[in-house]
Amino acid sequence: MASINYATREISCKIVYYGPGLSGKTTNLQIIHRKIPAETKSEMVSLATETDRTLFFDFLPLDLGSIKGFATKFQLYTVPGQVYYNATRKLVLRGVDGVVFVADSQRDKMQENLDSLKNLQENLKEYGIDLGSVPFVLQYNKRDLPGIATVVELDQQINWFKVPCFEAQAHQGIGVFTTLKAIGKIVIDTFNAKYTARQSSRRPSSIPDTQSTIPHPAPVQGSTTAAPPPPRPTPPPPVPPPAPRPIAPPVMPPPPMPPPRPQQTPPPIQPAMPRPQPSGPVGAPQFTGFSPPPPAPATPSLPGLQPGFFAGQSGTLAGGTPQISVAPSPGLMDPMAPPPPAPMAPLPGLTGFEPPPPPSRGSGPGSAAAATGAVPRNSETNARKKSRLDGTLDPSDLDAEIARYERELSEQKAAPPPPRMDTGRVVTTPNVNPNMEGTDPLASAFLTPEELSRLQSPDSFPTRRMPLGPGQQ
Amino acid sequence: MANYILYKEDIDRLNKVLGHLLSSASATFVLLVHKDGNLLANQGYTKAFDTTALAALAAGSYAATRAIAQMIGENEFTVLFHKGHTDNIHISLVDEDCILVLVFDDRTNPGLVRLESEKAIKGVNVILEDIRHNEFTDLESAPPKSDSVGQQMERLFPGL
Repeated sequence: MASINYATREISCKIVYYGPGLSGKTTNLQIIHRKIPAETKSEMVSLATETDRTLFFDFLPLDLGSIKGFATKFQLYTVPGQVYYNATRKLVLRGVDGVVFVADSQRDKMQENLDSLKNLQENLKEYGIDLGSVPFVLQYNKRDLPGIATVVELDQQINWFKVPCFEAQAHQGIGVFTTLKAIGKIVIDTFNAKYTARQSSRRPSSIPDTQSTIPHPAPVQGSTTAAPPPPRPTPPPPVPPPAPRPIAPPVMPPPPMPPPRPQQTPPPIQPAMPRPQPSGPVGAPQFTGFSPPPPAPATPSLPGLQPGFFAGQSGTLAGGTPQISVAPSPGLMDPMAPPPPAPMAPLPGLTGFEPPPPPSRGSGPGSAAAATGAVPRNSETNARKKSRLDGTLDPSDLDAEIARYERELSEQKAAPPPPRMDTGRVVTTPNVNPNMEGTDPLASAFLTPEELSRLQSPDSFPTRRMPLGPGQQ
Repeated sequence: MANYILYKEDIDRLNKVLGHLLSSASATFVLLVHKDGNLLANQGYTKAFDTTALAALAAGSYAATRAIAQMIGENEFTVLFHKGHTDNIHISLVDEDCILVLVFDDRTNPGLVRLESEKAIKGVNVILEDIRHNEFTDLESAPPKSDSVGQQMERLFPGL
């Protein structure tokens, strides 16, 4: 996010150095920091491990001084290149204005370059940024090492968007400032493109030509000389085929459009028609007036129109004739009855009919219950069902519960105290034979007196002698 | 993400709110920082500190803590508090883009800082909402072109 502060006349842009581990991102910043003139030098912050591997990020504020009255500042960041620091890399990319991808030129590091580039694309996508539209340059570092890929090979492999690329030997300072100047100019160009776009939308008479005022960078292959970036070519990239980089300056994506609202067909023609007094039964909803009068067979004899179909619905129809008065059907109040059709389709031949919102069953403003003030039975049942389902307490349920509790309390007071069941005593209940004293109370409760008397006789429990085994006599 | 365009009136309004917070909370200094690391406004004794780096580090600290919050099922933590021997830092979330950083010592207490921060955040939110609708005013105030930036860089790093 570039910020422009008109109070202090200051522009601040964020540039992130990205790339695989040990490709030279921190070295780039260290060289820049070393070469900054003392009067504008500020501290470089490095959050690194004990072994000087970047842990979180390196941060170097670069104050370019006043340019046409604006203090221009670049905030240079690096990311940790190691694979398992992806969460940190993502954090540093927030609000980025320009990206420098520092690639390792060694042939055996090509796959790491590709993985890191894909990772950059994915992380930017999470912030809604397309790598093809953000200011972006490549730096092919470590050109002094043996076993490096040629610039052409590197271009074919990792320069997907044909962006400016620069050879570099960062530890010697070669190519570091060329890269910095290139990305700085592209970032400012992009910033100006947004500025001119806003100005042109505000003041059409003073539109500067965006295409002519913004020089577009071109790839600089095999050369470390910084050239003003000419337009980027648009052919599709060779290795994974992402979208080609657009020539036009990046524009802010349009705000997301709200979802399309459902069309109400047909629209009401006369919305403020006075509703006549009901002529049918009390509380019966009425559909009054059709305009113009539809063909005769259309409305009165609709196929499948059952009495009570329109119960609970109220609508306004333009015109005067004919009238339909439909009394609410008792079947509609049945909770087991099928639910009414929620959206009413426009009837053929009817114009000017506005389907009313589907009311709740039996409690709509046009229903008989609402008109008479009576609470229909099914609504109470539904409320109780609902209260049981969602765990809330229905007020009517509460009254019933209180009444039930009071009734039970009074019954308990009126009734004699229940007999105590002591072990070893006969329960003195009318069903128990008083002669059966000494018997098991459980048996006396479940057996008839005859069975109990038979049990009490000494012969009722014949003992079964088990056959003795050999040698037990 | 929209660019932030700050005018003098906006900075004055922000400074007024931050100045009131500074005195009511008895803090050392206060920074209003964008989550990207940009310093938007500051009040208090900041001469001895590199506020630019402090803003970037505070934003980084907040971003790291936010990532931790998301790992445990929270969206983000609204308050961070780093306690030192004498000086402490209180970071509170202003809105989806900005954080408020208060540095204070043992002459005040964290409870007061937190209370006053919450009051100030309401005022800052109103101003930030106005700032988001800011536009460039006139062509005379146009930002510098890339050629000028390139020339300045050549002057800064001659022959490199």
